[in-house]
Formats: sequence, C-alpha cells, structure tokens
Amino acid sequence: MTIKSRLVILSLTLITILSLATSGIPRVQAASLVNAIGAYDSNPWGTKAAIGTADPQINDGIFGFSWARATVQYNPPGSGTNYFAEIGWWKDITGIHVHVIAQWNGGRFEQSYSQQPAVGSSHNYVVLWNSSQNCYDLKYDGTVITCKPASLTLTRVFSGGEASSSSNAIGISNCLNNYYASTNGGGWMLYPSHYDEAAQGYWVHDFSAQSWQVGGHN
Amino acid sequence: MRRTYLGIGVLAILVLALLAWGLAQQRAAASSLSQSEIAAKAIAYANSVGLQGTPTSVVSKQMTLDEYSARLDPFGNYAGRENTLVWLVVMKGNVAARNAPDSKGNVTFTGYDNIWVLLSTQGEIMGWGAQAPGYELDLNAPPQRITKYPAPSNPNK
Repeated sequence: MTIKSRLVILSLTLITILSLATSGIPRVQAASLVNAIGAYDSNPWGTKAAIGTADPQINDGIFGFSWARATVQYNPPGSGTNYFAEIGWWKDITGIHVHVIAQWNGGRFEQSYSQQPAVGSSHNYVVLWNSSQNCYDLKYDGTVITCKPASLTLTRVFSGGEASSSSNAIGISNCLNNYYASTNGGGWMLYPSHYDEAAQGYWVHDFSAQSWQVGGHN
Repeated sequence: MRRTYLGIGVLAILVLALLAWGLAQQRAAASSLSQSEIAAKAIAYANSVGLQGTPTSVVSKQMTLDEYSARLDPFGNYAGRENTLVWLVVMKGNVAARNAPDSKGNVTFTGYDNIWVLLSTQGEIMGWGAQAPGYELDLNAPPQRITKYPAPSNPNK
C-alpha cells in the first residue's frame, strides 16, 4: 500500500469519526427501556396498588434508573397516541424518591418529589381522576403528590417495574391488591384478571388475579 | 465590673454568630453551581432522555419552587419548600421522549421540539418535561397558576 493510499484511508477514517462525534447521537438510547408489568385492559377512572420498595442494581451510570409504579394509560393500538399518568418509587443516583411521569395533549412531565420510601417498605400508590381539576390525583399513602391530565378515556391500567436499560435490575417488588376505580369518586374494585408483559430476562410472578411480583437481573 | 463581663459576653456571642453565618454563606455559595455549569448539566441530562444532539437554543432561569410550580406543576405538593431556589433550563431541539410501553410491550416515542430540565442549585436533576405546541414556556412572561386543566375532549365514560 502506497503512502498516498494510506493517507486517503486515514483521512476517510478521521472524517467518519468526526462526523459521528458531531452528529448528536444521544448518550443513552431510550429505546433500551425494559418493563415487567401486570396489566388489565379497561376504561376505569383510576387504579391503585400496594407496591414494595426494592433496591435494584443500576449500571447505567449517572442517568440510569429503575422503578415500580401504578399507571393509567390511553394508547389505542395503531393510533400513535400514548397518554399516561404514573406514580411509584424511583431509584437513581440521588437515591429513592416518589416519582411521577405523565403525558397528555399538553406535553410531557416527569419529576421526583421529596418523599423517600424506605427499602423493604410497602406503600399505597393511587391514580384517580379528579373531575374538579380535570387531572389525575397521584397519591402516595393518601397524600396528593400532584395532579396530571393524561386522558379521561383509558385503554388499560397496570403496575410493575421499568428500568432505563437491560443493564439494570428491576427490583424484586410486590405489586399487591391492584384495584381499578369503577366510578368517578373511586368505587374501587379488585382487578378481575390481568396479563403479564416482561422483557427478556425479567419476570412477573402471579400470586392471584390482582397481585403479582416483578423483578429481574438483581 | 459585672457589666463589663456581661458586655464582653454579649459581644463574644455576636462575633461567634456572625462567624457562623459567614461560614454558612460561604458553604452554600461553594456548593452552588454557576449558571453555565447548570446549563451544561441540563443539556447532558436532556440528551440522556431524548434530546437529539446539541440544542438550538438554551434559556435558564433561577426561581423558587413556588414559581416553578405555578409554571409547570400547579397542583404539586411543595409544602414547606415553596421558597427553595431551583433552576429551570429550557432548550429547543428535536426530542424523542419514551412512552409507557404499549399493549404489546413495545417502547415507542413521542416527538417534541423542546425540553425543559429542573435542577437544584447544586445541580441535582429533579425533573424534566416537554411542551406540546400551544403550551410553550416563556420564562420572560410572569407565571400564571391555573386552577384547573382544560376539560378533556374525549369524555367517553
């Protein structure tokens, strides 16, 4: 190989490296999210569950997370619309906090709050439509943490774990006594059935129609 | 004589109190990040949750949790922390925000043209979000706390 061709190859390699470095590739690919949940397809007014706080291993660095939560969701198949409101315990580099995520036609919201569930403790997480403020009250042990809109019409409710990638554990967490709200004010009814969804390497162990345990990679 | 001792005692307490106050101020200042450091942290975090590449604009403002709440979390529970200072950093750019999993367990994304990040004055990430068209943030405008969200357009109950 001549010096000239070596120089050409070197130049092409440098150009490729430089263009990759400046093309703005995100440092964490959100596509790698993993879930392990138990879900019930319904259009209720809310959901609630007693969720155990775990201490999962997080290997994604300073922006990694793992959590377990209760969720209401509006996501008709093929619609491209995905509105939801979620509350649960969240572990990241700052520790374990109560965390809320919501998305609706006005935007996206995600925040950790000051409450810090202890590892091993179980807490009641509630998502319930508030008709005077047109949003879902997101409650932790009876205290309203915030209220976020999502969608009044729902396609399913669920509870379970999620982690920022398969490098992290979903903590072994009991999601017990899952109820849905049958009326505007509550009318709490136990899920009559549910189905499981778990990414490869994660699991959902069913205790009953309304109680299960999630985990994986711990 | 007794008065002299009393005077010296009061003076000593005053001096000690002043010293303690000065030290506390120094410590607080030392642990707070500069505006540019806060912006850099916010951009790095925004990249990790879906901002593609470098933002086309970055605006940041220090405010109380109460002001943040009025702008973005009107029903948030901040009892006792209303006066805590935080940073709100608003960026423009292409954002792909992850959704809750769909009914087949797939992870999908929703696109936005902006992203905001909430940070403590020490640079801890507290939250983030994105605004849909028509709901854009204007940090120059005074905050207006809503008392209810718009009525849902799909009351299919």
